[in-house]
Amino acid sequence: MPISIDHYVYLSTVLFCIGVMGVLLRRNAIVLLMCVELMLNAVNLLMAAFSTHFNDPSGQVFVFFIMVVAAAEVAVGLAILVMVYRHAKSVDIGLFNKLKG
Amino acid sequence: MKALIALTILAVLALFVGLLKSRKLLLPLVLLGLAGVLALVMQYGCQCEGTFFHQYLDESTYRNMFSFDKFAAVFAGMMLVATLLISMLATDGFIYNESHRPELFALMLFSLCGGIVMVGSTHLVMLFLGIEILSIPAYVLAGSNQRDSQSNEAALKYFLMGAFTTGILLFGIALMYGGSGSMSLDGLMTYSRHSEVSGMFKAGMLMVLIAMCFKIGIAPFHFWGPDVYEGTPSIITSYMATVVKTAAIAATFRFFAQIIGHDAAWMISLVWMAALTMFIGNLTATVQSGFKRMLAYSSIAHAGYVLIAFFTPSLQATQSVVFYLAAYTVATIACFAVLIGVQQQRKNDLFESFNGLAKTNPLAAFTLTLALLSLAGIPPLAGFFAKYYLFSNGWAGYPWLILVAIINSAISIYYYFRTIIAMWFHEPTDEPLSFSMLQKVVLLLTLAGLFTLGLMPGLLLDFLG
Amino acid sequence: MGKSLVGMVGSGVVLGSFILSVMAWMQVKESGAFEANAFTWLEVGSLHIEFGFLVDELSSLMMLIVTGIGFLIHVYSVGYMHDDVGFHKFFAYLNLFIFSMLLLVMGSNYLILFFGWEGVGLCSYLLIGFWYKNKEFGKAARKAFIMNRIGDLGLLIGMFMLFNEFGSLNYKDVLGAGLSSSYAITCICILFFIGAMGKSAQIPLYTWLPDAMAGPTPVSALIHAATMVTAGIYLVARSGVLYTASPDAMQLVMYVGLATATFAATIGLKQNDIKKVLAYSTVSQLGFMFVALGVGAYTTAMFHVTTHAFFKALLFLGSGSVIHAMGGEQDIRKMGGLKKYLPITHLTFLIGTLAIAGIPPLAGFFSKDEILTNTYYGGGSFVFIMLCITSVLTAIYMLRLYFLTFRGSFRGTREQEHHLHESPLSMTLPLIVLAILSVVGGFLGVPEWMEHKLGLHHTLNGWLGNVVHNAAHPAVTEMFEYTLLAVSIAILFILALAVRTFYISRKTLPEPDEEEIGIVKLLSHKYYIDELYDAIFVRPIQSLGTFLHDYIEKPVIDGLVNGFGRLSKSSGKLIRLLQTGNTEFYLLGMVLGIIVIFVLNFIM
Repeated sequence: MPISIDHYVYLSTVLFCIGVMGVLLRRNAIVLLMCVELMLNAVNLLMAAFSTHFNDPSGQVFVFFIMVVAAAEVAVGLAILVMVYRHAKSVDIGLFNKLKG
Repeated sequence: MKALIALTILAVLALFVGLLKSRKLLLPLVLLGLAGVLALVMQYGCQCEGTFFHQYLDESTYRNMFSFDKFAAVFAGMMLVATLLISMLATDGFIYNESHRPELFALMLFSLCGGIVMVGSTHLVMLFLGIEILSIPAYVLAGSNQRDSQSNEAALKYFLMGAFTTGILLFGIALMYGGSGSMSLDGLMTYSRHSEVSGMFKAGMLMVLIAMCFKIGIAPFHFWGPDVYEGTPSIITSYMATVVKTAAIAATFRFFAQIIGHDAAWMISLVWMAALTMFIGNLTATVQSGFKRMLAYSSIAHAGYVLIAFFTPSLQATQSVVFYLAAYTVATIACFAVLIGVQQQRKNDLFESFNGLAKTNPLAAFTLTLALLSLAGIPPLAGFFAKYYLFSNGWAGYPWLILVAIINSAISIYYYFRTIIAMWFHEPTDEPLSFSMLQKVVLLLTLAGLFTLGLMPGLLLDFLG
Repeated sequence: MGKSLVGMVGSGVVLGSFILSVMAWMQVKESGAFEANAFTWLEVGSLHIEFGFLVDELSSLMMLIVTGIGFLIHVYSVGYMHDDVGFHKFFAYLNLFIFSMLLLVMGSNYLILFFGWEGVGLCSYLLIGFWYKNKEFGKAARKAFIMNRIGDLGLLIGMFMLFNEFGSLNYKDVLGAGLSSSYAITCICILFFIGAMGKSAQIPLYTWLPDAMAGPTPVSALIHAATMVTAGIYLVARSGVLYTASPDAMQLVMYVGLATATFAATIGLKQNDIKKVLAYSTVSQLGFMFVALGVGAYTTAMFHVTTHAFFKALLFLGSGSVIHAMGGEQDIRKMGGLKKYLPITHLTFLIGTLAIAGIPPLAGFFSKDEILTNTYYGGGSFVFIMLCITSVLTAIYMLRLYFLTFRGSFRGTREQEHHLHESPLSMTLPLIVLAILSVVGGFLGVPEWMEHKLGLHHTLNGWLGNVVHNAAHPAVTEMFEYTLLAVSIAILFILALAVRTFYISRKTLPEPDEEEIGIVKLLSHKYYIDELYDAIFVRPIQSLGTFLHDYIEKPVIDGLVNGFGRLSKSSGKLIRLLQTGNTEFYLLGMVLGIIVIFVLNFIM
């Protein structure tokens, strides 16, 4: 069976959904961050696949952009988590519900 | 483009000033720099000819990635003015740790760069980059008061939900790319108009739209808004409520109006979201006990009103978005200017803290009253005309949505008046507030803005026409 | 600034604008209507809005009323508010009120009218809540504001539709065009009428007006006589061309006006607060004006606006003088016999009473007579008869008010009696001027059959003819007029006698709020004829008044307004629960939102 573009789409959709489920089900902020990374990597896979499919480099270039931005985002995210951890001694997102209503 | 480069240099300079520890230099540098960038943008904006949007490929659109056309110029100018005014509110002691002041300014300026990239983007890559450049500094800014648990919580929530939304945005972009084989606005537009649109493309478009709705704060993706706005230090909140929101709405408008503005089937879910947003924003605002959280909900409601313009794409609709956002920005900054004073000196933002402000601080009370009346849409202030223009253009699209909007603006009177009543009809319970010179200047400028926009809307609209 | 200086400046400015209004009026008389555009407010695409003013016959009449009566009320306020701490603020608000009202009547398009419209609403809010330390007054102010806003929404939507239909909001473009009746025009007219209902206190948006007497008395006078409530009448009269093109809308206006007139008059019968009686009488009189508008008698409505402004201002200021003398007491059960203490107030109040009751040749007679005549031809016999009955009711509650307040013996406390005094000149002078106007004002519009006999003309009809004119009806026979005249005079005399007997000779007092049984005891040793009169006339009507007030007005109308507020608050509380503060929940909410949107777009 030849592997068509559809297979890539299904695979990355499944990966993406696993990431989303992880975000919804886990409470540890660091695990959440990893799940978001999984979502982004699903996108990267999809982008690379489409890029090859269309024979157009822009998709692959976009993957580099995504990787860079994701790195920056993780850096900021981890810094925020460290700050929060210092204060609350925990990174369980269920604990942070003082702002509401 | 020059403006963007200048702005980046300004931000880097602000960081260097931080290294030099010469705090006195910082504010003048930022203000002058912003004014200079604003001048560049204005000069460029006046040169732009004719149409709002560049729709063709030429040198000025940077290989179809980014187009600094009139549309971008107007919004860039608006965001620059807002940042300028907000910087003037940054008086001593507005953040916990004074030594971080230059970094905060630099972050705000970097974020502003992202906003300008967003409003000029004509390519999904640029849109993505713009959003991230805007958002990542904003996450840090939200948590800029490290020792305050509320600020921590706001930063955490903003970051987690923002990162999640980034995933959705990117997946949407990938699907759009997969469906159409292009990521530029031109290519997407051609694809969406001419051929049978594939399901993958539509799904991608919906996801991008949802991610943008998150940034704007449209229900049911508004949840982050009130919590983050409340926890963030007020001066940063005022930045989020004006600049971030403006950039998100403008970028969405550019993509939305051009790609799917003509396809009615796509609109209908957004129409419902607009109505839902208005109701959620206004109804929840009526039961708040803090001024800041009330403003957060009111800003959600205002985003709901602006969506009306999306359903009848035309020159007038574009103008009404610009005008509405301008009126909203001016009034919101006025509200925050007073709020910052109250919060600093009364240590809370309850409505009772505004009691008798008319007696103790007439200028602040007067400006706040007019700003609230403008937000409520009472003539002859800017907000009235903004609403009038927006609604009367929207009437051709979905009249029932206009009715919903009008009912909602009636509800909004209730909570805007609560503060007005507290200021004018209650006796002062505390010492008069003191406002710095610059804060007073901001109050006067916003006051002038409210009247000018209201009495001579032509000034702004002619520029756009 | 000293108080006298503030008063002088405040009144002087209004006097100045009155003089200017007179000059404008003269200019209109000489050379017709004129328009002045201050600047182009907005010009974008098809939207072209001038910040312009139009002074024509209609607006100059309104300007004269607003500034003229406004000036007298300003002068009066100098005396009335003299001891108030908020004296300065009061005059500032008062002037702002007059300014907004002038903007409303002078604008050359509906948008400027809307500016003034909102301004008037805002000023009334400030003035009704002027004594804001009393919580109830604040509530009354908010109620007035909210009810007005509901009306405003109607006007605003009407303006959107109007612009959609005509592509302009200028009177010139909209009203000058030849109109054929259409569904859209009917909608616009009804929406405008909803706006007018709010401002001019018609069912169901009228309850704010009786509550609005919470403000200082000069404010009540200003709201009830010269400004605010006349705005709705002005709007409909101004849009007369539109209404003429829509018979359905006119029917609605007429029936709502009739219902309001009757309804408010019955409630007025049972009120014991001097200002509340007057407030309900205003609502009722406004109903009369809307009936006139509804039968197409636009100039007649404006005529009644004019005469009503004279005598209602007089009555309110008179009641203010009474309250002033009584040291703040407003309950007529505690007054009585004030005739000898307040001679000038008494005399002028009597003139006002007779004018509103419609005794010829006072002002009210002519305008009410004209409304009745027009209704007879334009509205059918049912409306005519109901309106006649309502005029009789008007006379009853006004005479009751007069007799209870000024005749008989004093029923208040010792200190109050000691304190009784005539008001200062700044207060009595406006009363005298208004009394003279109430006497002669009617001759502005003498009926046709009197025209040649008196050598006078129906000035107002000719004057307003360029802007709006009455729907044509056959010439009135002299016989009809004489009958109407004779019957009305006869009825009034009988009523005056009856009311006098009931309240003065027999010393019947309206029962205190708590004990309703007292009246039965009093009735046991009365003449048979009195009991009959009581049983078939007084009691049913009075209990109807109580019934309408307690069971219709309070729960239904106020309930609706309050209910709207409660509904939005409780739903706000409900929605608030969604904002749990929990990030997991938010993320779940977002994902659910995405799923719903996808389901809607791909599966449905």
